[in-house]
Amino acid sequence: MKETSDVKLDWSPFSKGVAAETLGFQARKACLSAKAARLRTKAMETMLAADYGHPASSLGLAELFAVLYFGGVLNVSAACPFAEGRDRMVVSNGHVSAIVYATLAEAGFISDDDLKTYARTDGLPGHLTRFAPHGVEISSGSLGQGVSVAVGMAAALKPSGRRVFLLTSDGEQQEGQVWEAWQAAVKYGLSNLTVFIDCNGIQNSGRTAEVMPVGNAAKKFKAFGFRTVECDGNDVAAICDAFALTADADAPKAIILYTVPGKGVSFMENDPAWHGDLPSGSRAEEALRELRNKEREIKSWQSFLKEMAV
Amino acid sequence: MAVFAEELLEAGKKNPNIVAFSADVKRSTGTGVFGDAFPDRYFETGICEQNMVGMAAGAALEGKTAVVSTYASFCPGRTWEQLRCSVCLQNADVKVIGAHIGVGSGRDGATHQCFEDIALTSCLPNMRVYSPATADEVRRAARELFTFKGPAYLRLSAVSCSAVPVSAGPLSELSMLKAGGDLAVVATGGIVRSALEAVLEFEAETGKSAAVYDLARLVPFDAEHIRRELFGYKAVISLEEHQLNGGFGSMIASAFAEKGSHPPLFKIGVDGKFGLSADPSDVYERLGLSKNAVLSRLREAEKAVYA
Repeated sequence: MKETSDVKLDWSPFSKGVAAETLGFQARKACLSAKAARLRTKAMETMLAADYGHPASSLGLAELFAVLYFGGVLNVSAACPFAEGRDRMVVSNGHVSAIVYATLAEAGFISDDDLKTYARTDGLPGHLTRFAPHGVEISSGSLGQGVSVAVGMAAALKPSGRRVFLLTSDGEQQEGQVWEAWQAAVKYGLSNLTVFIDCNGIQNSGRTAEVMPVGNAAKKFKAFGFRTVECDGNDVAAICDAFALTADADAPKAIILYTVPGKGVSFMENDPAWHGDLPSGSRAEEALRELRNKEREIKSWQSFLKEMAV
Repeated sequence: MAVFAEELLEAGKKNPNIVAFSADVKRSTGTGVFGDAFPDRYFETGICEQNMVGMAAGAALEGKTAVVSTYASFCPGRTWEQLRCSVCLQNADVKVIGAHIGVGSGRDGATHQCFEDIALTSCLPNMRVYSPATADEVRRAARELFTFKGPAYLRLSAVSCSAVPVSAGPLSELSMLKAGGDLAVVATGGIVRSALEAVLEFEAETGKSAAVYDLARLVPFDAEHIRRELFGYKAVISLEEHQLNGGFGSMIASAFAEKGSHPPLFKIGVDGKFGLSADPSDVYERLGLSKNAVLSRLREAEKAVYA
């Protein structure tokens, strides 16, 4: 199918500059959204092939990983995975390994064949493991601990001006240890630390609001002394804006991401049942079909924007 | 200044990568001295032992040698899983200093008296465990900590043994504090002093002679060495300021049991009890760790062997 449009608009009544700016913004947004859609499909394919993984949060985080690795945020490179000056991307909720591996594959740290070894003997571990593969900074999976480790890394790296990015989740805030760590991050003025809190409202055994409400994360982080911003975690532009808003803070930064667990697969969205379980049979096919359709949709939108820009 | 604090300060002068963490105990563990000398390399993490261990692991992953210190009850006591996942699983260069092992100050009571630290640390992959008895061993153990990259636990007795060894090799080997031919008491930590007192009385009473040893490095454990040194005695008595389950005596027992014939082993330790708030000498007495307890075990061993 040829994906072009017959629409021809007459821009003359409007400012061409504004139109170009809008188109440029939409094109950049579409580019990152396309990447997010790619990561989502790849993560789902990886999990379904292994019949292992934590699909709800993995799918919900695709936009964040697209922005971090492909939106010019992280200074990391597959060619020099151990460069001393690299940004440390620490993932404390280590069960979201599928979206991490999909991202690392897309960014050239690992191959698509590596993804086929997910959670298999000598393959990519089910929970994240330091330097296995390259690009994974710490071993995580026991919730709460990666937060302290990231704070310790940031404390050690602050004198050299290196940055630490930390992903944690709303459920993980139930671990008391994280609050010990947030205190320390503020006490030591770790402005080189940016924390992403994935608030998807679900966890292993149900809805976070029912299992153990974590309250208003933004208020809590503000009260602790973080420069805090909230955003729609499934909107690449909103994530970019949130990032820009915190950039100049001289305190540690918290970006609260409201995400939809299971994002992109209609029957999985917002349902805690898919925290650690995967669909099978025809439902698995349905999930992949939806994700691939979304990818195609964004591609059509991208070609449309390209045409408009001419 | 406490011996360990002195050694940490010296190590810090030589190695700028050493950083220290304290959980609101800088006065009691001596890390405050390091903090005064190197404020930029010192982190007071407050009453947050779990975060202290995690931060130390993070700093270690970035090339630091991180020293954490508090009472043994709280680390390793409270922080076992942080030691397991943040430190040992990543083989992070974190040195854990557990002060006031065992009876400690006595009056603080059960919450502050840790008789489980060897069990907690000796089972962790990658973790070395040091349990020095004398001030000299504390010094040597502290120095050895900074000669390798990787996790280690150093347990510090509130009171060291003041004896000078008859012969001493590396910390991984038994150090002989008193020679003897018939029986042997083998201890770990400062509690070995109870053995030295008891043995003298025992010898005068029975005319038999008993050797006294201590072992400062418990993990890695050289079972072959233990057998070689102790199999010549008619009976062996183990002594520790620790629970019998999962402690030093159990390690000796395992080493012995691997061989068909071995001297009988009489274990002295805390037998599934909590401590109590009392004068330290009363706590030792009540828990069966005093000179009298060793003496009665020696008599028991003597009877069994020479009956």
